[in-house]
Amino acid sequence: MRKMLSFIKRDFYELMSYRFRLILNFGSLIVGILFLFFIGKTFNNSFSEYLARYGNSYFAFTLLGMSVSTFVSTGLYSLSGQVREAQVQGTLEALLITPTSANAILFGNSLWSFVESFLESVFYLGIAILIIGLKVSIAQVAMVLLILALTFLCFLSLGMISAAFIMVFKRGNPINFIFGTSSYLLGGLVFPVEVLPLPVQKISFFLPITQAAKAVREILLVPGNGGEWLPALGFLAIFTLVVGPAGFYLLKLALARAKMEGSLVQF
Amino acid sequence: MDQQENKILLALSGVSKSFKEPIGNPFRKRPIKRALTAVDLEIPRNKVSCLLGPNGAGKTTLIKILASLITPDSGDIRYDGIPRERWDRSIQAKIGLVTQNERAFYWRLTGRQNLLFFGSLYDLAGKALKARVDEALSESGIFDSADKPYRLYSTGMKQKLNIARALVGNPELYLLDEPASHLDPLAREDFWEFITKTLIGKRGATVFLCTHDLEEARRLADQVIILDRGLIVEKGRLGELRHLMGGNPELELRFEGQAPAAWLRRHGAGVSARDKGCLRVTLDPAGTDQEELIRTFVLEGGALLEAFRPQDDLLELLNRRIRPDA
Repeated sequence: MRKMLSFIKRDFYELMSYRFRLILNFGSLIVGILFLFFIGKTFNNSFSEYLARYGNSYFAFTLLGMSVSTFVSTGLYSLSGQVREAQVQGTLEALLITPTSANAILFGNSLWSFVESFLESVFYLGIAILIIGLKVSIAQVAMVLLILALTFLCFLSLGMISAAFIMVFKRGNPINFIFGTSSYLLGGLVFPVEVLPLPVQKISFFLPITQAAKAVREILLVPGNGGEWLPALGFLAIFTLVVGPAGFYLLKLALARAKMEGSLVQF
Repeated sequence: MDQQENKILLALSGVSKSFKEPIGNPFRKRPIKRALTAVDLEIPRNKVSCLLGPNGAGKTTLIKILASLITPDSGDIRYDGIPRERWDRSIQAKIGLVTQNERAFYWRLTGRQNLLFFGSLYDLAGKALKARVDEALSESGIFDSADKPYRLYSTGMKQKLNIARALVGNPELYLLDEPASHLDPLAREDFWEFITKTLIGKRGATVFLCTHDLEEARRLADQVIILDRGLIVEKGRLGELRHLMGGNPELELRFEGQAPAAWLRRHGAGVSARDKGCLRVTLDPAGTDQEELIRTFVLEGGALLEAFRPQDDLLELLNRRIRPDA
């Protein structure tokens, strides 16, 4: 735990040395929210058939979708991106020579990105609660945090597989292609899954992002949902239990192969 | 474990490694390059072992194998008698690595922040971590620049921080991969003193140093290993290999009238007559300031410098004395 805090501290200091980037990131977040707000204002009624369950507010619908989408890019791109950066920079060897496990190093390297994602996610939720005027109980907040935690674990597991690919092949990553592109297209982040053709809807069901978005919306936008979000919770938990160990195993294999090929710092 | 075994910190037997060579054409089969062939080696405790070899000899591969960053194809490696397959994190903590890669730091952080981060990965925290970092910064001579961002460091300072990073972990064995290659002559002298006084003397550590600099090996090594094209071609104590390590620098000095041989000997030079009025003078590179001595011969002794043959460099040594096909 102490080591993980060191990784967070390191990346926080680095971030603070790029203050302008921090301001720009925050600015682009606000612009993104305004973008969704005005789209919602323009098309609110035309989506009503699909959005009726979620109170007919496109803005609320997409804002909650975006709150879970932050984990997609972090999980899929941050972990593998950090591995690649550490390979190119040469810090990977300097880290691996220390008596810290390789998994802890790889996870720690991308931990700050997940912290950022989590804060971004909470920011989206906060905006939704404040601007739309959602009335949220402590129990609902706890349920949403549970869903966010599981979404984080799902994408961390996918991220480990993605990092394993990058460690061996350096570039080209099928995991990012499969889960990244499809999550944005089929995950129901900015439009309801129900507008998709039926066979595609079935595919979208198996994406963790679809389930995470559905669960958060059910908890916050559907009063008295009667546990409609529980199957999504179960899906995310099972996905983590299956993909997580696979991620660990593949990362271990990739590291062993990189050491065999002597390619830890090749790029 | 008997006393003899106890003196050996790291032992390698039959260690081999080959790699697939990268080639431009992706449709051609990649040729296999043997980087190391059946390397047998013993690294004695609390001594400096110098691995000498030209570029591409396999030095970095060997050092990375010892640091567990590359897995050998075959062979046995034992640290304190423990085989490599059973090394855990406690063994890992006993091995420190210093490379010449100056990029392997976080450039936006200060030197101190970098060390605090890496130190935390050695299970250090709080006051103990800060004290260890301060000690490492002082010993490596970079304490005064510790709070400057790493990106503003000079090449020499970066190398010192690289050494400080290894010191933070306080390992038993220091693997140094051409650590003085980017240092200026003065900094190199300081660095050599640091190895003998701080690492070997004060810390009681063991040093395994890769270099292609004969002078560095002469100054530091208790044991010399010469690696060429992945094969160990010579190894032994420095005294045993002195005949292989190239001759000392020689001067030819001409004097008007009687050559002052006794005076030259008093100044620490080995003297042999070449012909009338001309002396061949051999300098001991470890014991003298050569430049100062030559100046004394010329200015005080009134000599005329006719010829100067510097020490052999490593490539010359390999070509002339070791490679049978040269």
